[in-house]
Amino acid sequence: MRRLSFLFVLLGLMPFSPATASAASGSVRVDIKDPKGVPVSDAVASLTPIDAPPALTPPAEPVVIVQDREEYQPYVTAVVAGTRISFPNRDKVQHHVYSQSKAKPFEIPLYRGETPEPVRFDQPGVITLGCNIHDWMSAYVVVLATPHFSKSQGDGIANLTTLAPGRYRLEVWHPRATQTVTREVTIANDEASQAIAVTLKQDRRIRRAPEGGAGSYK
Amino acid sequence: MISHRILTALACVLLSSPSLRALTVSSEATAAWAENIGRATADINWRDAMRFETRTEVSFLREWRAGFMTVGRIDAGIEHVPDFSKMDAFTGGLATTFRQKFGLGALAPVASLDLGLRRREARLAADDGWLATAGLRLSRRVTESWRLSAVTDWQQHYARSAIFDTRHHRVFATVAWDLTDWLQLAHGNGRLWGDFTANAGPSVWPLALAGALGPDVSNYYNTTAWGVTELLGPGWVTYRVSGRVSFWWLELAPALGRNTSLPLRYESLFSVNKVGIKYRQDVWTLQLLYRF
Repeated sequence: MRRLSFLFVLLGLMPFSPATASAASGSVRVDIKDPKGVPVSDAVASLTPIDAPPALTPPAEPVVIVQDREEYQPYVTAVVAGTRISFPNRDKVQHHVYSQSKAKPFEIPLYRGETPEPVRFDQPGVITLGCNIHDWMSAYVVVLATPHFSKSQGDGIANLTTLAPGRYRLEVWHPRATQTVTREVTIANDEASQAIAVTLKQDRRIRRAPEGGAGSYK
Repeated sequence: MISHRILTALACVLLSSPSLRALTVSSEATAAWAENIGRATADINWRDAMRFETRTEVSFLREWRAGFMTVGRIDAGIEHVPDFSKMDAFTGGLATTFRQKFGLGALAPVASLDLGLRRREARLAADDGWLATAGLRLSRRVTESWRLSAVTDWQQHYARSAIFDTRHHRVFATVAWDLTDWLQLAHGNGRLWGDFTANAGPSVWPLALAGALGPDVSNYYNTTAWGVTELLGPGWVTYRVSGRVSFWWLELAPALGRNTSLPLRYESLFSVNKVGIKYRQDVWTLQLLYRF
């Protein structure tokens, strides 16, 4: 009985043995703020291993970016290279999804209701989405060559977990950032934190609010 | 009565089609302070007044092929001038826009052709009739915050009375600048050529006809359509003239939300008829625009 108990204890400890822990046990909390200290949401933080290329396993199911009330949701989507994304239209009006970005130029013209075939994003880069009917609709897809990434929420925090110890290149991107913030970090078997300050440009989206026009001569 | 039936039937046909369920409804409410609302030439005859308008539009947009779309619209609106209620009117009808976008993206140039046919029912029966409009617009965003447009349009009012039977065309350009993501500054500048109506008080009009303003004016006014309409008071005359109008406006339009804006506009109009009589008007307009 004492032997059996010892075995259970050993089995219970196995996932946390030093050998396994060194494979994936570190985490990084990236705290993203603007120079005034205001938390920045919709920033994408990614960690790319420097010493060994990461294994990329895109999800089996497509990631979804919906068109709802004539807006894309979410505004920023981060995916690993090879991921398929579907663009269901939940509006009653037609949309015409397009990208002119070098990383993935494509068009899905004129659809309403049905969900067209997902689009595969193979090449890392930032893809800007638009709608050729509703100019104000825009969104971003950040395609990454690493499985380690996270998008900051309203508190400006992006958590990256299950990281093997080693050296990484930390990159923080935001649609309005003047430049991508890059730094090298070393991950150990513990929790680390990185404070990142990003300088944001003015929000210059296409205006959506209605306009009056010239009116008639009365 | 027949015109109402035609409009109602057309609206029913459009709205009953299953493919036309994706409708957009938008409304606007306008309060305008119009200086010299009656377009009188003599200072003594200038009348300033508030004009209230409300308009609702139901539209259906469809893109037929990449870049080419049509917008079908049914709209109806009323104008109300509390001080001069004979200027009140209802206008409603149909319009279509054919729109071609040359390329992908918000910065691609756009050409659009607007055609409209509307019924006008005014409190003054002489002003009743059909309004036919056509317009061609070329526009392009230079950057995400600057947009330029050039427009030419034409309007014919087939009115019950020859006084209001007017036809004119305009050419104008606009520039819109999004100062921030919620505030837009816009400017427009253009010219109009053709017919328009003007008003004269009972003390002025007989003098003009008799030649007090010169023989050219007298000869012209004795050949043009005119009548005592009392639009601006007892004995007031409305007359139709040909001429040209220079106009410009400046508009500050805050966005109150994604679908709401509140433009404040100043517009200056300077009209000159073919015998050199001048009419100046200034209009301050506050509009509430809402897209449902």
